Amino acid sequence: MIDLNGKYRLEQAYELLLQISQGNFHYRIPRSDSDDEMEALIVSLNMMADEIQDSFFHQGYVTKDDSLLVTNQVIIILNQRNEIISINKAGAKYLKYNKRNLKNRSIQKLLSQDSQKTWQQTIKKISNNNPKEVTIKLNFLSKTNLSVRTICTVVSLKPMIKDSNHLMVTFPIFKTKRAHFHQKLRARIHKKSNARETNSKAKRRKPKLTHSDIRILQKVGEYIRNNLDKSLPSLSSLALDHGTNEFKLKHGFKELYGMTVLQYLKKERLNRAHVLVMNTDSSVKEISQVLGFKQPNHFSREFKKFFGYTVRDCRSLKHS
Amino acid sequence: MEESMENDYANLWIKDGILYFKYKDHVHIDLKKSIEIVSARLALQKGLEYPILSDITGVRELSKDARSYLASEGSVLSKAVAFVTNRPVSGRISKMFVENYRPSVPVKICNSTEEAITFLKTFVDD
Repeated sequence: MIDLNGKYRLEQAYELLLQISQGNFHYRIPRSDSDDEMEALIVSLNMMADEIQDSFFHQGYVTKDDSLLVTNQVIIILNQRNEIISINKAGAKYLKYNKRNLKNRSIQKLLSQDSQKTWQQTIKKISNNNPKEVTIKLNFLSKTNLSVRTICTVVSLKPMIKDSNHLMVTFPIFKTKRAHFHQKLRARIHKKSNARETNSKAKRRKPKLTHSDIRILQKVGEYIRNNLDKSLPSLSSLALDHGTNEFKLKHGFKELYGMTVLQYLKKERLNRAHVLVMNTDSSVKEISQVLGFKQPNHFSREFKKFFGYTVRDCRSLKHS
Repeated sequence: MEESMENDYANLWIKDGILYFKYKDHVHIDLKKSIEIVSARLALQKGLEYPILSDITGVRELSKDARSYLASEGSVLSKAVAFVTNRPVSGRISKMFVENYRPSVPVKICNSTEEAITFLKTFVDD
């Protein structure tokens, strides 16, 4: 017997892999209530997509290099009944639809079950005209039934257009650097006159990190996280211990993590200190010792500088 | 001294030097919940370090932010962690969490509470 539901979910898994292979990391497979091997595979695929997207987006590596760029915007205009009266072409394409097929369709049919609830609550608020604009997390479903996580702004057009009961829903479209690179390359080929300028920019770029460099730097990060209580060895011995050199460690670390080794150490120490300050009665002296700060007052100063409030502020909030 | 507590996501208790943390069914953990979870655990621990048995059978999702938080700040005052699950979804979640985030304390994924206790006993103070 063919398990139709299983086959459908398998097709979704293939579709997600196809999208990832094309550099589209923003799709996810909608989750079901099952707890079987297929669902476990889907969870793993979704988490993999999170990791890939995040390594492009957050790690500093990427933000700096613009690996993920906002290239366009999805704009949807809805009537009073929440039916789509217009969507921009790029928006329809992003959701894998033809623009014509979306006309008059209820926006709820494009949302995952959870998001339908969020949508109804939001609409209630907006129809009471309070507030007139909200930003919410919504999961759209593409035509290929993958879910697209978005941070949407929903705006009532009433205050802008007299007697209008229309709503505008909008969220950004991201594109990977690779896709953007190809687009730029095409433009270069078509515009040979600008080629020289683009070339000189490319020359100024820093050399890329190799996969093995990245692995080593991640190990260094792991070492730092696991040894917060100890004082950090010198950069040269840290590099030597991990099979790299000081130059690569210094420059590569900053490129990968978006901060220097010492800044990273401080961030990790302070984040953990914050948890202890908020959730335990340990003294400032104890916390600063556990997390490798030499002097409690140095710790307090750094804490204030990093979070913008003092340890005492934090503690008084805890006891209030 | 309070030795057990319950919140929306889990039951927590301390027994024989091990902190038990049993997630409720169908829990989706995001960053906000993971902060609350760590906070609840630390409230019960009262500043003491414990080996932790985390029964994650009921966990259905662990968001990216939550994974990152639990791996770093989440390991505060824990000597070791044993994740217990015999279900496919939570099994995969815990495997990816441990492999990718490498929490800063010894960690083991176990199929049963008994296996977890055997692992954690070596970390219990005499």
